[in-house]
Amino acid sequence: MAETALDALYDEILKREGAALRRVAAAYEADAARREDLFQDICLAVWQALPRFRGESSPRTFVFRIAHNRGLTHRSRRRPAAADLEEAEAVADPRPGPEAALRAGERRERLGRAVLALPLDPRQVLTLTLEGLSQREIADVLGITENNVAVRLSRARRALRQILEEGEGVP
Amino acid sequence: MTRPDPELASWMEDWQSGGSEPAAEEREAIRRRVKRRTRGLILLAAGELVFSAGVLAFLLGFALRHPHPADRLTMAGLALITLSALGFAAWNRRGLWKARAETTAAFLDLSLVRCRRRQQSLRFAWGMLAVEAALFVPWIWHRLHLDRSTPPSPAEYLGAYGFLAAVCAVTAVVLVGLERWTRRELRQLEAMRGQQAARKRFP
Repeated sequence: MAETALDALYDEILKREGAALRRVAAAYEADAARREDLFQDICLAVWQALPRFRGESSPRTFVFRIAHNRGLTHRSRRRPAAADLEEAEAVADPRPGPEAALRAGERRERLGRAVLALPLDPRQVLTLTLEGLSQREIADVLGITENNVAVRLSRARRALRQILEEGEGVP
Repeated sequence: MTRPDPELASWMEDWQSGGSEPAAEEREAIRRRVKRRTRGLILLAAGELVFSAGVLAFLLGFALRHPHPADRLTMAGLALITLSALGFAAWNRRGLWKARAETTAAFLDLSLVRCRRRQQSLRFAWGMLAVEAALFVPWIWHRLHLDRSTPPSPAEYLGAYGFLAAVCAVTAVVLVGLERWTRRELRQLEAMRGQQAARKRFP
């Protein structure tokens, strides 16, 4: 693929999926600075993989697959103690943001923390669902069957509901 | 895709309202940074080759300028080690350059293989360090005693062997650090893989 065509495609992907890629990074990293590093890593991985994109899958599936793969690498290289602490904080501190913040912002923040508290497998299925991918697309990204996606999603939803409900009672 | 139920639709709405869309300037900045890092990675790979070529050229030059058999034998040994390292690195990377865009399950398997190969590289590096030290110890002795009528002073021994010991110690510390990092990564990857395998059996 020519350099300019590659640039244009990359720009288009960042424009359309940039926000989603930031959310993928947020699903793997609670710390803001490291989250930004992970987002940069994801952007780099997408750029490096782009010349190999042959259109066998949709660009969205392609990009999400790369993003989640980078997320896995990031997670496997983190210090476990720090990671556990972050996740524990995410579960133990589900308070909404400042009172002045909009209610939607508070809900989003609570949801983000609850998603981070989920185990890895259901978290992947859930975040891809929340991005609007179909079960077929999620199965493609994760390399599992559609039935498996449905089962994991059902468990993820149950777990998420529970975490959010537990968070409701915290002042 | 069927329409999501209200609960899921509400979560989707909340979720998708997060994460700011990068503006044109930010996209440009990201692209510049990404290209810079890509160039950095290429330079690093090229640097490895250039460094090895430089080492080989230095060893050859030294052997040509110093015809003593001990010098030539040591330089030949070091050149052999350098070439073995290059060969081992190429062999150890076999099958690791697959497309990244596989499924996450396949990626996890590939990451595990990469991690185990890194462990092999580290074991090779320990062996290399030992062989190099074994070559340098007699060679330093030979260089200290070459063309002189009086034996070298203790300070000269200390300087030469102390330097060798320091280089070996620093290398060993780096290798131990890399081994720990690799073991930790391997443990976490195996845990992730284990979770995935368990879920496949009991979804």
